[in-house]
This record gives sequence, C-alpha cells and structure tokens, in this order.
Amino acid sequence: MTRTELGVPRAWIFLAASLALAAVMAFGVATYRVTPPHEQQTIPWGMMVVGYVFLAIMSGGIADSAVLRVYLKGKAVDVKTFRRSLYTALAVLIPGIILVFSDILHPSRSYWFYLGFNPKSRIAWNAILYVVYGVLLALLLVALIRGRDPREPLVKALAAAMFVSSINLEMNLGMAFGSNIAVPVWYGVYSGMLFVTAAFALGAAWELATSRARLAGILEAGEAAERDKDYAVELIAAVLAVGFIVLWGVLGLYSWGLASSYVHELTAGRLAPFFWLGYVLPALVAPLALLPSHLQGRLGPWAARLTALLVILGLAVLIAVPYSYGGQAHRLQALETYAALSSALGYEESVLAYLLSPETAAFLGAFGLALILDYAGAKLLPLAPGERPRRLLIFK
Amino acid sequence: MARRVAMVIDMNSCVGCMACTIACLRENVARQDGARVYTPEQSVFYARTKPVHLGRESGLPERTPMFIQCQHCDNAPCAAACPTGATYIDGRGVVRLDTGRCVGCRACVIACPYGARTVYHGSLSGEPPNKYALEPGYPDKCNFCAHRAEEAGGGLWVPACVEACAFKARIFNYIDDSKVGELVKNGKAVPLLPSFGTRPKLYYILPNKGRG
Repeated sequence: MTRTELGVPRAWIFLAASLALAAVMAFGVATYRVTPPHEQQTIPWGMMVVGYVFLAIMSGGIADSAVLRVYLKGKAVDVKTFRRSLYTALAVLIPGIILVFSDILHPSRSYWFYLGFNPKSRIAWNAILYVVYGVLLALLLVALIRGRDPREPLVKALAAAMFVSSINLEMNLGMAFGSNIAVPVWYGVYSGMLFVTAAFALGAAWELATSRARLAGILEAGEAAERDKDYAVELIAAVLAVGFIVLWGVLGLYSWGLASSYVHELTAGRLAPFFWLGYVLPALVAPLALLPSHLQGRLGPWAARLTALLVILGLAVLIAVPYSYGGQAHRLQALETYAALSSALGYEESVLAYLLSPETAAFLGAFGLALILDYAGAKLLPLAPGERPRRLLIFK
Repeated sequence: MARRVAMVIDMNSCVGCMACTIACLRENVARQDGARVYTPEQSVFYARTKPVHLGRESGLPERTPMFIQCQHCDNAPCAAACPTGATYIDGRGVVRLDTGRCVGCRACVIACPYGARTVYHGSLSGEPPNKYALEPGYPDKCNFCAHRAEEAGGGLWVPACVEACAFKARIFNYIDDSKVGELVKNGKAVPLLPSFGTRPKLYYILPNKGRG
C-alpha cells in the first residue's frame, strides 16, 4: 500500500475524501426530500435531473468506448482493462439511478413507469432503457468475471446489445429534453446528438482522469501510457464532436425567433460567463491546446489528467447552466403571458439560487459514491485479468 | 360517447377584475380548517386560471387581460410527455390529472407550451375543497371543475370561473353545437399558438373582434 510522506496510506485518504463526498450527496438528497424548494415554478428540473442524466451518459460513454475498443481494435491493453472499465461504468450508473429516485416527487409510485407505460413519453422510455442498459452491463460483466472469453459469440452478442441499449439511452435522455416544443432552446434532434457525443467525451475523460489509480496492478507502466494516449485521442475527437453539435445548436437557435434572445444571453448576456469560461475554455480550448502537446511528449501525463478533469467540469457546466437552466428560463420568455406574470409577481429563479441548492450537493456528492463503489468493486471482485472469483465469507 | 366541451374567453368583455381567479382559488385551491382559510403563498400562481396583463409588445392594446391556464389541447404535449399516463384526456376532451399515478417527474410542467401547470411544494392544512382540488406536490392544472361535471351527471355543468364572471366574458359549452362552436367556426374565437399543433379547446376572442 503506497503511503504519503506522513505515513498515511493513500487509499485511506482517497476513501475518506470519497466518503465525505458521499455524505454530501446524502445531505443534499435528504434536504431536498424533507424541505423541497417552495419556488420551483420557472425551473422545474433542477440539478438532480442534470446529475442523473450526466452520470448515465458518463457511464454509457465508458462502456461504449470499452466495447468499441475491444471489438473493433482488439488491442491487448484494452482487453486487459475490459472488465475494469465495465465495472466502472456500473459504479457510475448506480449513483445516477439513486438521483432519479431522489428527484421524483413520489418515488413510491415508480412502478407506474412500467404499469402505465406511455410509449409517446421519452421519460417512460428512459425508465425502460435504464433497466435494459444496467442489466445488460451487469450480465456482460458477470460473464467476463466467470471466465468467458470476450470473443465467444454469446459474449459478443451481449456486448453488442449493451452497446445499442447504451447509445439508445444516451440519445433518449437527450430527447427527453429535445422533444419539448415548449422549450425552444432544447427542441430538436441536436439535443439527442449532444448527449451521445458528450457521453463519449465524458467516458474518455473519466477513464483518463482516473486511470492511474484504477489500473495500478492491471497494466505495466508502458501499457498504461499507451492506453492513456488512446483515450487522449478519443477525447480530442469527442470534444470536437460536442463543439460541433453545440455550434450547430446555437446557429439553429439564432435563426429561430422564439430562441434568438437566448443566443444573445448565451454569448453576451448573463449566461455568457458560464458558456465561455465554464464550457468553451475548459472543455474545448483546453483539450485542444494541451492534449496534442501531451501526445507529442511535450507535456507529461499530468496534462492529460488535468485536461480530462477540465472536460468533465466543462461539460457539467454546459449541461447544467446554458442548456438546462438557460432552456427553462427561456421557456418562459418565449411566452409573453408567463413573462408578464413573472414580472408582475417579481418572481425569478436566478442562476445562483439554482446552483446553490441542495440538489447541487446531491449531484456533486454522487461522484463520491461512484468512487467508493468503484474502489469496493476493485477490492472485492476479480476485475484484473487472470483473477479468480473470491468467496466472501460474510456469515461464519 | 360524452359530448366534448370547450371554453371561449372574450377579451373585449373581460375587465381584469380577477373574479374568475378568486372563484377558482376558492373552488379548487383554498382549504378551510376551522375558522382559518389556507392558501399557498403567492396564491395567484396556483390559481388554475392566472390573470396577466399583456404589454404593448404583444401587439394587442396595452394592458389587455390574458389568462394562463390549461388549454385542454386535443394533442396535449403534457399528456404525451407523461411517462405513466397520469395526465390523460377524458371522454369530454378535458385534460385531467390522476394523482394516484403521478410520480412527480414534472415532465408535464416542462412540456406545456402555455406554462399552465404548476407544482406547489409547500403544505396546506385542512380538507381539500373537492376531490380534484390542488394537492401539494402534484403538477396542478385546470380541469374545467371536473367535480362539478360529476355532480351534473351526464349533462353540461358550469365551471366556477364561468359562474363568477359578471361580464359574461367566459362561455363554456359543447363544442359541436352551441354558441362556442359557432364562435370557433366563424373564426372569431381563436386558439393560442396554433402553429404548435396542440389543437387547444380554450379559445380567445381577441380585442376589437366582437362576438357578433
């Protein structure tokens, strides 16, 4: 076990920090459930919605990338880390699902998602796709843990089905926003495409940011560097794709009367700091500036890890503020009647109130839970190549 | 099969007295507990018909009264967005909410292009005024006073807002064979945002058009 200069095992510090974050999540969820916000009319979908969407697409991105690498490239380094990546995808998905049930106002009636399934509703499809994706991911992982070869036809079929369900979930999560004509900023297929591309960016970023800690003991130093370089290339491609979709969306909105005022706010108004400094700088400029230098060997691995963290932060800001908050705020400005009511009541939910809510604590804390689950899985499950399933003696 | 209903609001006759809003609050929102009456804070926000005055930028005469409320769309975006079927359209064409099925995802609140649905997150003491009255934690909406419809058996009923309007600015009737149908057919009463394809059953007679 590696130790700090003070002799404290690094794993303990990591676990303590993750536990503290998970406690923040519990605090956020409990506060939201016990004292839900009174004023949530103009922005009905808060940060927990952003949180569960974000974690689901990040999980999908990790799993999609792992499957594509193993079955299209088949590099030894990717096959060695296949189980570990799939488990990480599951560990990231679980806090997201917890946020779903924390966010809905009547979780005890969740069975109606299935009993009253409305095929026109994107959220109803999300309820199906979350389960399908989660179950297929778990089954694939179990098959690999039980020693099945990734090249076996059954395992291949399972991986293909999981990949399709994951892409569908990402697209459908985007279209749960994008199918709302009442929200001009979200409306259109670009929302679905944004979430699929963001999934790949987040998946690559999470792999890159955490690879050193997660893959110690699985890969040799040279292999780890090779794998990181592959993910750095993938991250560059993915952030370019996200940037293209954002540009496509913004240009589309600019030419649409209902949303053109939003574009002004996004580029030069109150949303501008979140867009330029919150998204463009960390999640577009930074990776395009730093990752090529890292690939050419001019910057060390720290640059790749820092960039990956910046991309995660930047995409979180993009989805949380310009997209989710901005869309909902401009839902009302598209309707003169509601704008009139809001101004008559002196009523506005500011960006600050939206961000400084218990829901944000729940979202941020969810990363702590993901890290704990990931760590526990690595300790308890045979995720490294050649590892055998362990028998856990819980009851003697 | 039940006959379908619709409402027309004549903006020429409306003086913005808010009697309809107060009647709605009394009928569907306010709760009485002993001598005290409880309503949500900023209760006008939770009335099922919310009065506003449009500014000059709307293209209509300044301070034209307008109402935010459920438009009872035939192609209701809220019903399409609802994952559980809790929001549905009944046989009379009235968009309703079954609170027993609602999971509280707020998709309907987001989906409504008229901003007609609101969730009250606070608590209210006392008994609800009727069985379909506002319940905290649910995406509330106008249901044309559905409890009155049940009291009327199979016949036509009068929603509280229509009853309260001293200027007869609100007309409620069957859509196929009545004054309402005639106003809609001859184009004097028009829906909001027709380009959205929602096909509302709440119509407005715009200022200076006259009922004819």
